[in-house]
Amino acid sequence: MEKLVTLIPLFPLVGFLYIIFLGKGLSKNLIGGIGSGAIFLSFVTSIVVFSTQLGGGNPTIVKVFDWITAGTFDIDIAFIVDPLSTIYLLFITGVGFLIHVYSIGYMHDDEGFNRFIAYLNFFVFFMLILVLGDSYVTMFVGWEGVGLCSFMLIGFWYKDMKNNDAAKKAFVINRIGDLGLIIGMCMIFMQTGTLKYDDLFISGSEASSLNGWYLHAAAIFLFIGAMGKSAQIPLHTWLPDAMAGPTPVSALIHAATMVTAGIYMVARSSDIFASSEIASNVVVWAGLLTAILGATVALTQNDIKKVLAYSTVSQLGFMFVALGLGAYSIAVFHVITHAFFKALLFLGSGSVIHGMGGEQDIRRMGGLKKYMPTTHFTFLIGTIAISGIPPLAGFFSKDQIIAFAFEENMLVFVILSAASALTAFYMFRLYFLTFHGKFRGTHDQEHHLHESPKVMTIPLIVLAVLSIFGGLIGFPHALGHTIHFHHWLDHALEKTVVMPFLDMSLNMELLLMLVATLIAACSIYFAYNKYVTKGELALEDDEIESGTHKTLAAKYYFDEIYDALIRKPVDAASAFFAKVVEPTFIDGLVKSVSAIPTGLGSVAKLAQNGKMVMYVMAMILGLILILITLL
Amino acid sequence: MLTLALIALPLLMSGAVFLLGAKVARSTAMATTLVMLGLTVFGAVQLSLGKTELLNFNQNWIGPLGLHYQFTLDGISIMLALLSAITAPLIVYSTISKTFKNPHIFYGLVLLMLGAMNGAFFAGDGLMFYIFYEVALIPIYFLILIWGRGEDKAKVTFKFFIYTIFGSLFMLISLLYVYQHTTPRSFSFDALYAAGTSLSALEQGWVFAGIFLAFAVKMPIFPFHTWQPSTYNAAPTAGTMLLAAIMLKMATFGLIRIALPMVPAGVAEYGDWAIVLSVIGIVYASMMAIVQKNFKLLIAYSSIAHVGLISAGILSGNAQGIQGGLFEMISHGILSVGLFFVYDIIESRMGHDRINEMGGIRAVNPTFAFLFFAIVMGSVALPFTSGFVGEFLLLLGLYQYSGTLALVGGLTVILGAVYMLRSFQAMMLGAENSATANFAPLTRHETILLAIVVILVVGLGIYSDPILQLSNNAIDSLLATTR
Repeated sequence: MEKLVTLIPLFPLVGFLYIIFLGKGLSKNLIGGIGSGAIFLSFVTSIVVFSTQLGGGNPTIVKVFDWITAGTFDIDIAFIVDPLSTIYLLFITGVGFLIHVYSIGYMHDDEGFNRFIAYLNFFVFFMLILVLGDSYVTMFVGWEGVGLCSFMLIGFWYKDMKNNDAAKKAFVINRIGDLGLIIGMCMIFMQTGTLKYDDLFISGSEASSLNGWYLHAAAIFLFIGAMGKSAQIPLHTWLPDAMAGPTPVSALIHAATMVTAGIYMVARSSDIFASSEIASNVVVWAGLLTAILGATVALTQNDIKKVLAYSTVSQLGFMFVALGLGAYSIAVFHVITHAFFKALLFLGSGSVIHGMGGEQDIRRMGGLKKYMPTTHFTFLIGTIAISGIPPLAGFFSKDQIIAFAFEENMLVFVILSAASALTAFYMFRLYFLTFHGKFRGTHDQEHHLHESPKVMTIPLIVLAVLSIFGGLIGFPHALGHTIHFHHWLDHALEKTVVMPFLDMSLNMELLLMLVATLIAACSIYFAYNKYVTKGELALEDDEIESGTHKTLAAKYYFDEIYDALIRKPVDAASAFFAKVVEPTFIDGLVKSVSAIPTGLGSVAKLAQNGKMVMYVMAMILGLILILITLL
Repeated sequence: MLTLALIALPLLMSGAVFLLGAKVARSTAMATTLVMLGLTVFGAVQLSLGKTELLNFNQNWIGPLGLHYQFTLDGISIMLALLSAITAPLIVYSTISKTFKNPHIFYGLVLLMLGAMNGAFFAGDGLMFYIFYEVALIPIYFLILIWGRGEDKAKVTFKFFIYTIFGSLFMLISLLYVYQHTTPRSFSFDALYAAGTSLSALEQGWVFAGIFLAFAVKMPIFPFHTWQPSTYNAAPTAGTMLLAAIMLKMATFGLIRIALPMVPAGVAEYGDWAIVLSVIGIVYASMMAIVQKNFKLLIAYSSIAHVGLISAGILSGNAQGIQGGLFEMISHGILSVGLFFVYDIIESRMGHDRINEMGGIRAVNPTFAFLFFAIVMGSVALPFTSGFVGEFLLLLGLYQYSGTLALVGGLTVILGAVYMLRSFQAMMLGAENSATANFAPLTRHETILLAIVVILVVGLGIYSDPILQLSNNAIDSLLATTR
């Protein structure tokens, strides 16, 4: 049964190739059907493969072919079937399928429709390779491949250079992380002689031969890779810009799947991170900083997708805090619930943008609930889920992260709770400004407002259902013991990742849940009071007066700082090299050295053709040398 | 016999082309390179089956001086033979729509150069290597001088010529120094290895310095590179391809064939400066590439960055570095042909290659954009392209030598993406404009050539193990002798 795993990435690959090379002239519905059908087949196969792991099955390696051999370095294209990879398979193909279907409606009138569906297929192919690869190097194939697809999809509308800039920024910043990951891989290889998970963590335990500063450094370099892909400070600035791509891309790549690759990688390396306290602390604080930064910036954004983008940045921070605290399975749990509700929110925003005729500014929206009932209702569910109101999915996963923080570090707990309170506030701000109040757009827009077609709303409904019930797979231990509902996810993952240990009484855990819920409820009340009762609106750009507000609206000036500290100096240094160093120093040196033989040549005055003189001279010199030594 | 055929065939055919005249020059050259491709593949199969009798050739030349005609096709030279055999037909094919004056001389010189380069790759003897290494310079000199472009081409070619030939003298001195320690006197590599390794580490260090200097000019390595961009720029595109794809590999190959086994202690104990220069060159050339305004010059600098990594990886002296170096040589050769051909396509339509004066070509010509983008991805070493296999192994090799240097050299991962994507986007993306609206569609032969390059780049990136296996054993035994 495990052998079937090979088919899972094969379906979307074939879909991609078919649409690119043979798709010309086929109807859009057929192309859409091929694209989503390929993912659906992968989804069904994933269920079958996943079922082999249900009984706590042993990790299995399925080898496809030899890839790279050099000395003792040996990497195959091979897939690992274990609980961690198969859980990822399920939600990648599941959520991926829904987003493909949605795209058929969303992209229907775009001239690049075929290309779009093909790229999405290609993306899913690489994402599957990423989680299925049996070694860091094979994972890296998917890692770079999803980066490539992200690049192509952010810049999908390539005639607008702004989109291309965003795409390039995403690719280059990701590459900074990738270099970290490459160095991390080099370190692991040098110390352990292998980069295969099986040798490192499963059958063997080569990872344990990493020690001393080497261990910490290797873990931190791996984490730098994760920072790039999962948009953690200081490598987070590409993700909000990536919203330049079509909205289904934002949902699939820049919310549900690709950006969680960093969490996957750290969870996969849990053996390494668990033994390095230093690296784990780095992970916690980077995550924490990102969580609070994302949440504060999201308070002030007025582009519906930018709010969600900063929300994603912030939620990814939550996941890294969990990883750093050693709660690997809980981080994975939050990845899954987040995939449901964030995909839902993004697709909902896409539906809104679709209905508004391309408008993304929430200051021009308002009162949409009566025009778009399904979008409104599902968006509300997504908003409640992310805000952490029980019993929706986000509550369970986020609450467990916060409970862990409470046990480990009070400061982390306080900051995380604050970020969580902000989350509920900015999300309801977004919700109220978009769906409540009076419509603030143009007359034309109001005239055209409509609910999206079924092909778009049905995926919303499915995701809404998942956002409500998805939390049950990771039901908390505390409640589980009393009502006999097992923490299924922990059970499934216990052979693959290092398991968290939470020493907390039932009452304490219940109390924390209550507090968290109350905080979220208060935030929602504040948002309601401000934006509904008082009917306040978001400020126009020129109305912003407070310095804090300006800083937040400008995203803490990260882009400006990087521009001044990195981009401009590199450009200036390059220009200096090109204009001064190269011609004056390096070539100047060459010229003065070469003046010596040229001088000799002119002294010799053997012929008018100076070039040939040099040639002959050199040859003669060579011959003389040969003769001297030989005789 | 096979090795002799692979050297003699292009040399003889080059004479034939001179004599047969303009009409059949191109087709004869094309046929010759295809036959060479066939012979080389046959040789690779023989080698992988372990049948070596056809692959070695040894004939006395000047007995008393220990000079032999000795040519071998082993696990290391097969990689270079494949490189030359794969890229040569592509290079000839790339000229198919061009009209040269005196085509018989042009193609004759191309074949002459191919023969000479094969001679260097197969040489089993230090002097043989040196002679072929120098002979290869003559045809390319004339190719640039006669068919090149630009007013200062004579000056540029001269600089290139003098620079490389004086660089080579240092290699000759080194070789002669080691030769004097052979007993009985012999230039065969086996004898040179035995003599070289018996020298003191310091002596080996000096010998290595001479050899590296010669190769550093040829590759080129910072700061000996200033001849390269102007020469690449002045050369006719086919000439640039020959230089970048094959010729510079005589130098990187020489590091493996001569430097590592002959003076291992010199490399290990006194070779730091060479690796440091190589790594500096990676960053320096990448930054130079970022500010280039002309696409051809950009590719030229990117080539310096790539060979810097090849050199650093090889000199690290471990299996991953050497294997990566060999693989990257093939990959870089194919990608160079692709990139310079892309340049040729653009230049022939636009009349210039100024990156910032284009834009929107993708909207007019999506097929070209697609193929170009695939080549760009190979050049930035995306996995499942040949570039990745080479670059990753090289960094892995370099890391084992020095983590810091690997981190600095690894900046190519970032900077490469910056300059390649920047130029691709500036030339190809955006809305079509008056400059590019009439960008003519690709001709059939252009499409075929680019498609072959892309298939090779992706194919070798996925199906890399059979190629790597060809050289695995040879590298193992090379490393065994250097320890």
